Amino acid sequence: MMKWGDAGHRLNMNRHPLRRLAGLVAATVVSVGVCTLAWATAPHARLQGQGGDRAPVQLTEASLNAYAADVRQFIRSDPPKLPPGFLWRDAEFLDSGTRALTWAAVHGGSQTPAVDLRALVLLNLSAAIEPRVERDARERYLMRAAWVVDAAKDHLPRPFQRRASLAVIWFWQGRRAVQKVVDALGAAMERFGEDADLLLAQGTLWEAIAVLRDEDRPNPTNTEAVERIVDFPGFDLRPRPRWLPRNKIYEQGADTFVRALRRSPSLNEARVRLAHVQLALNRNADAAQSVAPLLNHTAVDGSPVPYLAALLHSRAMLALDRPDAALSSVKRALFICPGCQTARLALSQVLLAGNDRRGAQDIVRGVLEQGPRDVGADPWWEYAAGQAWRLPELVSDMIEEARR
Amino acid sequence: MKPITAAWPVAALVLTAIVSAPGQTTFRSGVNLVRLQVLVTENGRPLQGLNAGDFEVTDNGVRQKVEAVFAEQLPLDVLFVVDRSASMAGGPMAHLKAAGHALLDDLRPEDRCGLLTFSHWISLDVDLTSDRSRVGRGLDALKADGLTSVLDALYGALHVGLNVDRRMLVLLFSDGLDSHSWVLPQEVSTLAQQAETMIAAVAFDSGRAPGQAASEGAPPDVDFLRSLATDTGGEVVVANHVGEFAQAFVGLIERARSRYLVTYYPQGPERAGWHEVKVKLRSRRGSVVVRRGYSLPAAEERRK
Repeated sequence: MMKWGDAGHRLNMNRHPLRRLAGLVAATVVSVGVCTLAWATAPHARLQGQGGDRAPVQLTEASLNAYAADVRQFIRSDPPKLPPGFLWRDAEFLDSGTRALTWAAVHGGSQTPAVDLRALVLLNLSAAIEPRVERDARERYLMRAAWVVDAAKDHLPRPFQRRASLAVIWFWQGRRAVQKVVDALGAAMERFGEDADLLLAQGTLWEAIAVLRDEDRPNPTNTEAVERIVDFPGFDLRPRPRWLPRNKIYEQGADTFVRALRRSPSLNEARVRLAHVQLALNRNADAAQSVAPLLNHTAVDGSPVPYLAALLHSRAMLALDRPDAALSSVKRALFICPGCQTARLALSQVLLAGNDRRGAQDIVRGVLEQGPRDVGADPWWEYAAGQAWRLPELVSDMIEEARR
Repeated sequence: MKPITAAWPVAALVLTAIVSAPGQTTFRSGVNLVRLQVLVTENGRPLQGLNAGDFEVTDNGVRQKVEAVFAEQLPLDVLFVVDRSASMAGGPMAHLKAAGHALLDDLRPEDRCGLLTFSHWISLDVDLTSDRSRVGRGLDALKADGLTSVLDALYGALHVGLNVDRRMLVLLFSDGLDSHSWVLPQEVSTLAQQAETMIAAVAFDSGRAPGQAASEGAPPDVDFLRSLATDTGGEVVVANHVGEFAQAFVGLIERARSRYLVTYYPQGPERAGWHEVKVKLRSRRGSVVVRRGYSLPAAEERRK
């Protein structure tokens, strides 16, 4: 269920308080449909978050028309491009404007301009993944997009809703915001049931919780996350434990990845993550077997999968006391990403295991002497960000589909 | 003297021995010399003036003959391992820089210092040097950004060259839980057990809600750091306020300097693997902090 910021109110399009309507109407140019305006600016519907120094832009027919024009311009531009002025619009206006445009699209019949709801979602979603936008503002764009999908779910195609839900989950994964992933994933599983992508996200969530928890040092916040997660449909961890041992959490992750692979055997990221939790469970031979089919895959489209598979295979081989195989796998990782720090550290570990201490030290020295400009993107550093790496492609595909 | 890899510290034991003359310490080749940095305190204060006869050392349960004890005359190599992840932005980073300068001011002319920094990536910004102004400039240039890889940083630090005629201290500062390391905790522990390097740490826990998200301010894993420090004879100070950094650093340096260097040639059969070491005082009262032992590779490995 979508919550709006910290207010914690569930949005319901059929029930909206009109208590402040009179004052708000007086303060606003009343050329916009009264119902639209009242709903858009109702106190229960207000976004929380970024403030900004500028005075909020009034919700007028002209300003709403400008927002609607941004939406149309965005979806028509090829390649997709955020309208120049859109990112400068103040947050309060966009909150109210998004509500007004959504209301008009759902109910019709007002003077508020009609926009394609998918385009409205995608414009905000694109702003949420735009690197030039500040972190907090990106979260707010994401929340607007998520809100539209939730508020207008009867008016959006179900496949679009599902992909938008994935986008929201992946966004919060990228922020390592465990509780928000729990909320978004729970809502998505309730609405769409189990599918491979959602199961992959669920297994990834188990991984995230496993590293946050420490059974020797209880952590109340993490316990809450665990307790929330077991309330989801699809989570069959009953009876609800007060403290889950870390291994139990990893086992849940492993089971979930296996279920994801049963539904979609080509979901290679699930193989990599399965290997990762198997290594954590000391099931080293299983881990090697999980990623073995990926060792000859070519890295395409920025996919981290072949690199991660090679790295994890090398770790499994080391644990199985097969340094030659480990060396071969780590060389594969270095071939895919020659400057990657993690692969070089992994190489030093393989050399150490083979008693080549001088060689290991030389490798580590080389890593340490890399300047900031030489440090490239290392897919391992994004591992904890779940499927966030797939977000730009997902949004791009959604835009492409909405244009048809 | 040529640096010897810290990942192969026991090799240093094979190659070196100590001869001492007043005011001068040099090392000569020898067999299996074990070096222990030992902190002795009484009522929380370092106890000075002890000599070889005051120490009783056992190695895997076998009593050892203490060869020599050195106190303050050995210079110190301090590798400052500093967290520059995004959570350090603002006040913590400013105080860290000031505290780092206080640490540099506390070093002696014969000491050396280096600067290894980390976020999700690690970098040796300044190699061990007696030119402390270079380290100071390195500190001043730090910018907080990125995520946290404490274990990768410690793994890197344990590979920075060890000089056998000096005492080596890895001094870690971190404010966060590791979120992005490739190296595993047990791998760092194993390496630390093989090294003669002492690891000390200042863990900054400002009391932010733990478990928000690994990237959003979970505090350092103090339990792991304590275990690592215990393995290597070091210690951990938890700072709850930025104003405590300087005092923590200077205190750790002073206590590191107060340590005795106790050396012995192991008696009993040479055995590869873990050697548990225990140090007690013979006739004095006091509390002893020393590494738990050392790991001796097989003879053929040491020859490589």
